[in-house]
Amino acid sequence: MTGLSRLAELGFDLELATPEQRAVLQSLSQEEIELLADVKSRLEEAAGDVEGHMDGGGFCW
Amino acid sequence: MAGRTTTGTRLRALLDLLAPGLARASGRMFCGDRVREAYLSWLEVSYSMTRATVPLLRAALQESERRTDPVAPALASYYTAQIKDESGHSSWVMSDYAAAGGTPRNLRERLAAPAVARLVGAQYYWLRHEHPIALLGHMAVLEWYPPAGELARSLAGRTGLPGTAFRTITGHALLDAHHGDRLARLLDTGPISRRQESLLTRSALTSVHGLGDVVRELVARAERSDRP
Repeated sequence: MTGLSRLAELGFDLELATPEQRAVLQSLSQEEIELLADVKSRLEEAAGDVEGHMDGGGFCW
Repeated sequence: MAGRTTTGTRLRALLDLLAPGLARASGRMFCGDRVREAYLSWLEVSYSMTRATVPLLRAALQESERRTDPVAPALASYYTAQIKDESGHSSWVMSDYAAAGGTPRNLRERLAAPAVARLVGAQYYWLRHEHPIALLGHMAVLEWYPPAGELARSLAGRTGLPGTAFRTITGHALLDAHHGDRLARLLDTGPISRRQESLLTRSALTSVHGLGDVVRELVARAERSDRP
């Protein structure tokens, strides 16, 4: 299984990924892919269904 | 692709995939009714993070000076400059806290949130036990996605606090752009091995994970404070 298909299986939406991002994702190890997917799903959980975002973008730190 | 991109562009491409989620999660910190209380909580957490910045950079500098691999001298120069730039920023937070109605002594006396200890503590592990280049992954997360000046204006309007209560945000909005460029130059030109690049990726993902947990705790605190 490729990195991209594993990410898709983990619920990672790759439709908006740029070619450069796809290439970076392809280069990740299996362990890094699992970590990336875990981080992303935790962020989505933390964001909840609130549509807001930081005014002006950024993370605040 | 490997011939056309750099360590910096690859790391940024990866972080750009996570940035919208972290920005949305961060947005929840200030979307309740008690924005002033939420801002004070944010300053408390920011103090515990900011006071750790220079010691963390010093630890990375010390490790860089001890190493003999090709990237170590560039890292030592980078960390030396960064220490100079980051010194004194915890006093910005204290001054904002006072202007927002808080008691600065409380900042020193309160214990840091466990999520902050995990976020910062992870970096000590990476830089001491793997390589000091790891800290650049953490810094990429913090420097490449700075708060915008617009956030300070919005919070001032919603809290009724004076503009002097937002120096931490406005100061970083200005400085981080410069710091982000300096970091990108180092990542684009430094002799970074494949293993070191993997370490950068791992460190950066650890920090996004850790910041997400910090945000989650602040959102929970804000939601508890909103309850009647």
